[in-house]
Amino acid sequence: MVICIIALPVFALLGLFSLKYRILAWEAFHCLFRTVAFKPCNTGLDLKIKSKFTAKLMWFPALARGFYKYFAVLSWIFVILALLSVAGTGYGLYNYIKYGNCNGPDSSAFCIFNPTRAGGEEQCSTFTQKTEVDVKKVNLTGAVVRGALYAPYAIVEYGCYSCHYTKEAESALNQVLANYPNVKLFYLDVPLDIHPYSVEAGEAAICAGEQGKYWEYHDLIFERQESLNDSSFRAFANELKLSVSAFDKCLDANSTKAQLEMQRDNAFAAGVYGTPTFIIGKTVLVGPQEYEVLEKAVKKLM
Amino acid sequence: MNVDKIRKDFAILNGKNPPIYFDNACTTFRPNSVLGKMNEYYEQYPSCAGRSNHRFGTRVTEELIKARRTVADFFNAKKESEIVFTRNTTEGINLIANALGLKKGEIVLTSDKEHNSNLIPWLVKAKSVGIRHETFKFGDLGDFEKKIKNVRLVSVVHTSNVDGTTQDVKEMAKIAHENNAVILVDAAQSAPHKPIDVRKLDIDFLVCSGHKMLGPSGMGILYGKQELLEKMDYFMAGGETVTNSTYTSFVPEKVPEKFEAGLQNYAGIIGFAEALRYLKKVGLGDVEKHEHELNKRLSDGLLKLGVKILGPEDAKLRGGVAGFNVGKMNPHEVSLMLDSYNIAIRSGMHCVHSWFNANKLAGSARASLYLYNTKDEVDFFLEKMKDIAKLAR
Ligand SMILES: Cc1ncc(COP(=O)(O)O)c(C=O)c1O
Repeated sequence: MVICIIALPVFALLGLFSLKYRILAWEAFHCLFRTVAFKPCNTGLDLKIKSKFTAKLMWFPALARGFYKYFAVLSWIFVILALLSVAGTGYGLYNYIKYGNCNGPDSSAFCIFNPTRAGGEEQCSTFTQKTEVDVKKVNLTGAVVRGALYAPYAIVEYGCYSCHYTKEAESALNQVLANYPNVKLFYLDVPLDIHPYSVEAGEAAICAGEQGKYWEYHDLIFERQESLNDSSFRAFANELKLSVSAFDKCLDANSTKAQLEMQRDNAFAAGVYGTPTFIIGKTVLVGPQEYEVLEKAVKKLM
Repeated sequence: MNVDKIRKDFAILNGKNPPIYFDNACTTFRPNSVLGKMNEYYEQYPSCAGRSNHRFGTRVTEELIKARRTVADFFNAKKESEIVFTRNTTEGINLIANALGLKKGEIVLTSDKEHNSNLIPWLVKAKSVGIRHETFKFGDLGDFEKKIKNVRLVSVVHTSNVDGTTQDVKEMAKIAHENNAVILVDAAQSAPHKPIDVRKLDIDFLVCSGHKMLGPSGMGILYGKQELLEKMDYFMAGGETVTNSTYTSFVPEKVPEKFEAGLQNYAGIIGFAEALRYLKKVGLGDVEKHEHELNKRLSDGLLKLGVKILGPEDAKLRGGVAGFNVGKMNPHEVSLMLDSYNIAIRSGMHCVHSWFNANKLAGSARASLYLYNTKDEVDFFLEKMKDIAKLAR
């Protein structure tokens, strides 16, 4: 009987733990085998299910009679529903592995697999409460552009140099930029006081930018994020062959500090509560994203 | 007969929500006295009979002698040595099949409604030795007489486990003897329910199982006339079946020990005898009457629901058994549904496949009653059957 298609895997699984279910699994196996061979199944598992349910429904005779009479049809319906739900679960699992969200790449709907990637919103934040990001209030003053300036589409990223989630977000982001030359990145640094070297790194990057090496410096900071110390920033400047005196002067300048603080204040004003936060058109994504997620958001712009 | 009092003797009937057990043709419950007697062996004298001479050994030997006497009395055998302890009915039949010395071409006659236990041994012998197996119509003495010529052994079921009908084995024995045949009676379904006197019936062999008559499982008996047993060869040989041996020879034991190879199921034997004592105390005549009453109530109720009963409609002819089919419903469905209401019956072909196949029946449901069943149980059963019968419409 068709019902054994479902019964077999269920009882086989339970059978790992108990002999009772092993016997039922064996019955289901026989029953299924006979179903496949189109012989009447006489092991009794389907009979057992049919009879026991009918007996339970006997308090309402019409229902019992209906169930008894249409058991074959009902079990087909049940099996089809069960198979659909297995397929649905499989699809969700696929989405989860691929996009980090079982509902698909850009859904914010509830997902039973506690997602840790997209929509998972792992981020570095000083806030305990999430705020609402208001796309209209995004202020690009001070943003550094990666990619072609004339590119018609843009990703806005709020990041922090000592936030490892921001670092984690880099690879997928850079891949998108490489594959879509008509997309550019506006990077806005949002240093968070709780992170050591967060402010220092932000200022140093601005100063490297003064000498035309913002992105080289940016990449170097993330590359060495785990080992940042007091002497790191001067050393990076040396490594990138920057003028150290100009670099030091820039670091001391109040304007540098002010620029960074302004960026941070602007970010908070727009409702950004953690890094990295991506604004792609109207899509707001918090936390490191899979390539496919970013790509989908970008494609939506086009 | 006081059913309430009887029910008190069965632990399983005194728990919460006791089962309605209508599968007594398969096996029965055991009274506390039987269980107690068996425990007594294990707790007080767990030892070997007939070989060890210490006090435990002596006690088991004593109990065994008493048990054999009880069995012999129960069936009114002439001598205790005519009782052989076996595991069950099936073993008893196999013992005869193998030890009687059946030869090629000799005919074994059975009815056409035999339990596999009284069919397969003969089919196996037909293959291995070349005996001939023939059948007559169950209960049909005319047909029996027609087929009896040149038969070596008649092996017949006394009461059918399918429909509860009983054949006239006394008349069959008479006819068989007139034709120089011996007769073996499968009393698995009759011994528990009606008094049997092997001497009055003048049958040569009788087999039955303890588990169908309040006794332990794995315990049965074979009755055989002394002179026939003595002429028989070994079935199983080994310890207990010889009085002496050298590397090349042995001296066979007397009957019945000759047929009781190896250490016996002492607790089983002692428990079985206790079960017979219990039945004797209640009185098998009363048991039979009680079953008839209940079966009449049950059968009439089923007939009123339009349920088809196997065999004669008159319950008196069916002992405590009611085989039935509800329309075209699969009998397994009936038993499974009843199980939901704590009612146990049997369904299927009841190990009599050959008869069901020949009659093109897929099987049947079977309610079988015993001394501890009550009118209330029958009424509850009928109430549930009323619901189930509606499904078949
Ligand atoms: C008529 C008959 N013969 C033989 C047997 C076999 O009995 P056992 O299994 O105890 O050997 C049964 C049991 O159902 C029976 O009903």
